[in-house]
Amino acid sequence: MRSVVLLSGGIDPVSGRSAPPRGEIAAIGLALSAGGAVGGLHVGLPAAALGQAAGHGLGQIACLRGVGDPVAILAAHLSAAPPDLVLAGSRACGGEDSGMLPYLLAERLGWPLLAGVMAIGAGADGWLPVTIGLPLGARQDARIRLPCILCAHDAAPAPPFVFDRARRVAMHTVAVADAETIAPLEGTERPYRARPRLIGSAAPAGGGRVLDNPDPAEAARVLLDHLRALGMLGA
Amino acid sequence: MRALIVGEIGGIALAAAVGWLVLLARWLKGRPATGWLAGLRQVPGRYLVDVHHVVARRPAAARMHAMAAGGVLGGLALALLAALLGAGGIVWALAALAFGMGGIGALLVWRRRVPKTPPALSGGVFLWLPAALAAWCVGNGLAALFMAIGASALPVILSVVLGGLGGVALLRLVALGPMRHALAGVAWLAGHTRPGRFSGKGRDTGLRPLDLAAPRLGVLVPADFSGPELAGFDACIQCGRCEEACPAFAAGQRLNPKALIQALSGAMRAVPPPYAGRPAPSAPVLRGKGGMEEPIVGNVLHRDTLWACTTCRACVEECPMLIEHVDAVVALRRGQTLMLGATRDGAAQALRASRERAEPGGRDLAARGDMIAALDVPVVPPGGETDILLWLGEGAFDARYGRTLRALVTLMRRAGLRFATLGGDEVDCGDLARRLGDEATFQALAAEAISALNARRFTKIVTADPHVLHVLRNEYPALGGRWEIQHHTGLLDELVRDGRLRLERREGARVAYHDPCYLGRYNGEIDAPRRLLDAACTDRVEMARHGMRAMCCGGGGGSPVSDVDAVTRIPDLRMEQARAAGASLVAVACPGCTAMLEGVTGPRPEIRDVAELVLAAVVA
Repeated sequence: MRSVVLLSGGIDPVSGRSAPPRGEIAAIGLALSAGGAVGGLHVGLPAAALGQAAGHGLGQIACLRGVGDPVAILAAHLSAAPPDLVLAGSRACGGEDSGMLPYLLAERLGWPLLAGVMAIGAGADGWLPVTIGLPLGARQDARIRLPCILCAHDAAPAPPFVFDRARRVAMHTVAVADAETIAPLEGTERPYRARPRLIGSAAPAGGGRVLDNPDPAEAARVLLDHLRALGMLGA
Repeated sequence: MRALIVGEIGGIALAAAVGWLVLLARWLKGRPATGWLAGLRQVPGRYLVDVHHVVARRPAAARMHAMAAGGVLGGLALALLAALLGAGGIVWALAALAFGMGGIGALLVWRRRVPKTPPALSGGVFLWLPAALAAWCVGNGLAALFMAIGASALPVILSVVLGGLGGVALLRLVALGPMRHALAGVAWLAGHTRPGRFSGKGRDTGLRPLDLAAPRLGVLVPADFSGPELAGFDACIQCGRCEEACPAFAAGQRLNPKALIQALSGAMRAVPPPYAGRPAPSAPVLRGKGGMEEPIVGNVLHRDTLWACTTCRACVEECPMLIEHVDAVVALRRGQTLMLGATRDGAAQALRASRERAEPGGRDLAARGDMIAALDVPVVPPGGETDILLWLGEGAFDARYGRTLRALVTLMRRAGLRFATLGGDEVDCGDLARRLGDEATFQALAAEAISALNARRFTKIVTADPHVLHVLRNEYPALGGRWEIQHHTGLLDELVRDGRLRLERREGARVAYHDPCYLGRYNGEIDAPRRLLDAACTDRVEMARHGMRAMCCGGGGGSPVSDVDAVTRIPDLRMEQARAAGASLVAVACPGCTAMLEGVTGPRPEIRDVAELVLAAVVA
């Protein structure tokens, strides 16, 4: 299986220094667990965060040097020699990073995408079993057709950083055709201001019903109605 | 008869020399060291002054060793002299006297483990050592005596046979361990990796920078150690003084410095001789196959052993062979961290934060000054100038240590000093990363700190953190940063001495001072804090372990973030020692010690920084 991990020129949210986002490190871990060849892919000039990401287990990283929409550049590059698996983090941390890139890329390539992946199993017959992480520690098994794009869950196991790997990474720049330009994002920048918490709006509405020593059949009926009202039992 | 004695004693001496060359051939498989054999001429001085200085802290051991070693070697030299030169009876008599002294030494060696071997001493083949020594000394002593009085051939021959048997036994004990220290010690003292420690030149405690372009970083296999270091491991006599001083061992963590050095010595050999000392707690000696190219950690050394070390140097301070245990631990950690990424989880987090946020706790550098924000300490911008640069350190993020820093700032204000901080430009000094073996992150942080300091003008740096003090004073110079660095207790002592702060002794608590390892053992500063406390408090007591031989709080070397298994906590042990000294207040001088000792639960002596006690006693 050939895997490609998408890497951003990550920035640490606290220090503003270059650092690979947590999800991308987890994506490297997933790629390594899939076995086979693993490479990093970045659109833009080699950034410091790439070397740090490589320390988590990448032997080589290709930097695509072209001007324009990174989604278009990636799509063109990936469709020229499609890998089996493309992995990404859930969210980058730089200036205009929106977290949309994997989805836009999947749309353009026409590949399936799964987000929040905690682990991947052994692929067979062009299908790959994966485990998705849900809130509160719940897990869900799924399978996805290859080739596909997987977004790693931030809490997926991260491979350790090894300085020796970081310093040995082979980083090569690939000149690619320019893609269509995208309009720069318009907006104003202002300092972060903590918002007051809106108490009550997030709390579940309605107080429910209290049954005092009810008849079992009556209690069961009330419970079923309640679960149906929540949409948990179907119509 | 003379030829017989020359043959016997000379033969044993020659065999010992060959044995030394065999050992040397193995050590030379390590990384090359320059000027190693040239150092041989310094061995007698280092041996008679520096080694003896440590051995003599236990006078009985010093007497035993002086008699045994002096008798064995002195008798050998005199008897050879007499036999080769055909000297008269007087030299033979002197040789007999020397061997006789050695015989008494053998008796003292025997008494050491009889009736019961003390727990820190190794047993096993060590129990044969007095017999071998006695045979060598008594046999050869009698032969010399018979030669001196001109006795007939038979008693001389019988004595020579006994002495020869003793000599063969001693040679066998070289291979098995107990006598190896005599030969390996010579090579180790000749090529000691910290020559600055010798002959009153002062101390040498800073770690050496690592060439980050080298193919192998740190140590994974025995051949990665330098030749003299390997000789140092073989020089261990298993006296156990290190394990008696080791805080991690006392707390039941998987580290025993003696077992560690023995494991490293055994790691060089395909079949290591059996180890008959105490192993590290809950970590029996691993029975992996040794070899110069075989991995050490996980094979002959338990993984946790490395991370239990607090780098307090108590073992180094106690070692009569002047072995550098902490250097060995850090070299092994460098291999694990840089080549394999095999750190403990908590340490990996701290290292990642150090890499990405220049702060092992992952906190915002701009928030470092928050605890002293109310005091409006100026920040010196790049290109700016001040008298004293106040380096806040990692402790500044901690609310408890903020009290100490506020006390220090208040005192400096009272004394009319002009000072400023680096503000958000103060990165972590890299101490934690370096002790955890992450030399790459350390060098990156050091480069950033040095350029931040170089961009400002000041006369000296003052810090309340002994770890910062050590790194800036002893480890930055090798990377190009040279300034005058002072610990806050040194500065306050100076201010009190110059009359710029006047103190009035406060009655009340009985104070015991806990020496931070990085201020005491690493920098030799044990007097200034005591002078300050004597000026500020009426009642000061000493704990049994204090000064250069104080016990660690458990907070150094990345041990807390490595979170190793233990039976009890090191600070609990230290607090017990403070209680035993009758202290109702423990004075500290380090953010690490403050946090560790404040973490002791239940009723206990109060913890105050020296600066806080001085502030309470200041009158003008």
